Amino acid sequence: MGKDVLTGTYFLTGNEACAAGALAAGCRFFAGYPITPSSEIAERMSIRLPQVGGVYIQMEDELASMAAILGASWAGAKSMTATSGPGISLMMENIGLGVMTETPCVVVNVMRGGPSTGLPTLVGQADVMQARWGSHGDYEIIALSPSSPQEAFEYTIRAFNLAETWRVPVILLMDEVVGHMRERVVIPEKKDIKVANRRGPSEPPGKFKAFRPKKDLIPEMPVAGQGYAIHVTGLTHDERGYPAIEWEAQEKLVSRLVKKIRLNSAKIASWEETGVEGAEIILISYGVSTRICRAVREMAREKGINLGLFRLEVIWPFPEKRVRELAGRVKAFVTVEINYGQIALEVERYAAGKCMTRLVGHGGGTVHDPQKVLEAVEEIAS
Amino acid sequence: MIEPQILDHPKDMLLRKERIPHIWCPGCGLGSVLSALVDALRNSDLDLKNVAVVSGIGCTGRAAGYLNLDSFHTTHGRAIPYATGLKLANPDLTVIVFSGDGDLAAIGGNHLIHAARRNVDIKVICVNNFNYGMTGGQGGPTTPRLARTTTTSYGNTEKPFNLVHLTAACGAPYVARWTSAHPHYMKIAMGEMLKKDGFSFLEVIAPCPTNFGRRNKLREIKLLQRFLEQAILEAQPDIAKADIELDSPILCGKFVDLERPSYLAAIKETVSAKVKVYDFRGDGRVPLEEAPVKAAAAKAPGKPAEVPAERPIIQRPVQIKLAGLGGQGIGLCGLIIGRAAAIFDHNQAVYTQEYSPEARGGASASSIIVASGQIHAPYVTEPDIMVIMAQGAYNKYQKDVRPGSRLIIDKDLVRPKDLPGSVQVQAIPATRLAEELGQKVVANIVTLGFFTALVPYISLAAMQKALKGSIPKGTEELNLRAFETGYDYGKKMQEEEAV
Ligand code: SF4
Repeated sequence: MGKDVLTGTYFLTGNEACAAGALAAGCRFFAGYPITPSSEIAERMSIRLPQVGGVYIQMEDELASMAAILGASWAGAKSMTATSGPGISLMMENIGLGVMTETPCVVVNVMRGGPSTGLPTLVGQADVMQARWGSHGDYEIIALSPSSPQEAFEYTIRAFNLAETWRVPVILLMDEVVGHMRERVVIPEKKDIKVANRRGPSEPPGKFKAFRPKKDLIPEMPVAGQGYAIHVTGLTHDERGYPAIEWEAQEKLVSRLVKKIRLNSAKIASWEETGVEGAEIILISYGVSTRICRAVREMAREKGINLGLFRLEVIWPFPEKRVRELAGRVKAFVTVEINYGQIALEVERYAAGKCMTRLVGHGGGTVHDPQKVLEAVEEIAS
Repeated sequence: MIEPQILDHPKDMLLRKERIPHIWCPGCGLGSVLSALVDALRNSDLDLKNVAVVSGIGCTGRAAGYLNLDSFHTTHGRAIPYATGLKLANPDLTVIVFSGDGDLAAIGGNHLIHAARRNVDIKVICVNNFNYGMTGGQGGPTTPRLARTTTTSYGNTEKPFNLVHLTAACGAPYVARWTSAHPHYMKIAMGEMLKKDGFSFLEVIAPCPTNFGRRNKLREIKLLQRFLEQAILEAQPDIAKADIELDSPILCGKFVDLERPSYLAAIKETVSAKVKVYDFRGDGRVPLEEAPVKAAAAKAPGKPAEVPAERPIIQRPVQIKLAGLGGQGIGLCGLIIGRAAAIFDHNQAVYTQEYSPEARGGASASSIIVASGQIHAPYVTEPDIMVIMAQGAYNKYQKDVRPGSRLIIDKDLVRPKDLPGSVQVQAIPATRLAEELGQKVVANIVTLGFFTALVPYISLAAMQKALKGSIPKGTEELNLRAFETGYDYGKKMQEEEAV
């Protein structure tokens, strides 16, 4: 059997690094359908998985890909798919099933410009709200956004760990630039990589209820073939997993699905603050736009503007408490994202009028011009 | 008085008793099909712990929930791909898909044909009741012509699927059809499917008296009676004659039973035989052994401990853009520069290239930014150095040549015109020199050597290491000679200029 962690220093694209991260996290099943700009992930997985005893399968479409990774997860494999734009729209149906049945898996969306076919080869960051609520019904989900190939490697591992811990599909919101750019990627030794695994059943079959939550609101997860005769359904269900078509069961189940993320958000949410203490203005960003914001900070420093950067590592759940706190201390938040205002809406919501909020957004196809961001900052600073 | 003794029914062990009574209507055919499956499973020598059932949505889709097995009630149409994931992730499982015609043949039709083609080892039981029972009896792709449903009040005008013909045509190695009035044959077929390694398909024609029967004057027992009376049971039925019309007989039997390697068997045979330990050759062939900072990496990712003595210090990010025509190997040059800087010089480098379909033929460019500190914005916007290897590329990218920048060109192939002020042009007859070496294709590597001689941002040692790791085995000598040729040409040019 080949090694799953190829320790060393490489010059990789974000997509390649993502595949390396998946293997390091223990992913052993990949189902996908080719789509630009994510195809290199599938290509890499198709080469690597057979070497480590895993399975790669190219499905007939993204509906099937998403369904297959859910099935594989219930057979005990850590599973993943990768897609973009039109593909993620198709996956939304079974992302909902994954949420409802609390199925750990990772869905990579290498964001391109949309709507519809949009800009297949060029960057966008407009699927952020879709990542949160793109499937029907009410739920909470986890999404992360890397800003470099090194982070694509690391965040893919984090995505698997979060999926396994909180039993929810985790969306890795990459973008075309991060997916395609090459940078140095350092792959550490296997022993230094922290990997989380789902919690299995602590009771023998019989009394065990597959959807009875523990204190942290997460049920223990048996898989097919272990003798538990589990029933897994997308219908509203009780703790045994049996359909329960009534409002009381709905309340109990859906509120738990929402709460298991919301009440644990302190453990899940993650962000990076640079020069935020004492800053007059704070840039809020994620993914490739973070890189532009770092450049803007340097430009602002030269102009004597005290500019902080608040960068979302995990986008959902949103760090609402921290943004609320910071809102009371600064003059303005400037959200920098490649869309016409998605995270900007969240920022506005939690700033709650305590400071100015601005958006520097555009429709996609390229990254922000740092100069334009700087101009928005200068306008507020003056 | 004798106390009545209540014994478990022998089939109970396979049913979730607490979920009975089921939701199915009186006279519905689904119970018989489920019962036949229970019998087939009991008669098999399978360890039932390893049997999983997957359903989609609909009346039939509820079957999974009644079986005391690992059972999955998925989304509409997606039972087959879900089952595919289950089976491939744990080949020890026997995976049965039990779902309806609307689920498997309409919304899930694409999955059905591909699973048959792929020959994933799953056993598909498709209960065909000619309509959508759960939602109130709408017509669908299996509704016979002229049949009345809630959405075909004037009689259905569409030709229905012949599902056995369809799956057989897609390559399913096992295909059979029975009706719910044939429990014995159903059981036999299911037993055979449980033993088959490969995609097997059983269509069971079953009555939906509540919806289809009622609207077609075939209530309850009449529908079943019709199946019994009109079914043609044949040992070797002709699949082309298996179309179903409203009043026509229903051709039943086993249509296909042949051997074909299943999906997993084929993988074992083909892929597993070729798999070797991966060395990242696909990334431009930096072999694992040459990765310089294995141990240090773990301690401080991204910050290697040992910095080579000859590491060039690059204060501000330097932007480099390489352009040429398809086949000139521009992308490889960019990669080598990036690797040299990022891996071997321990500097930072960001490499980007054009991905648009237009970039595939014609002129294209790849871009690298190198710096000793962090590189933020990833795109080259104001190149400090441009390398252009063909006139077509020059025409396209001339707009990017900035005043005061450096322009490296192929002396014979590029005629720079309309240059902005103070551009330092440095030319090498790279293609001609490559031809002299016997291989025109190494013109890019000649240029790379020239670049290395002139540009101070990447060390010679790093470039040599990156080059060695980035070219196919067996071409090392030629490529190294090409590199040296370009390098020497550059050094000589510099000396002459200095004089
Ligand atoms: S609606 Fe038709 S298919 Fe559904 S349970 Fe009733 S009889 Fe059976």
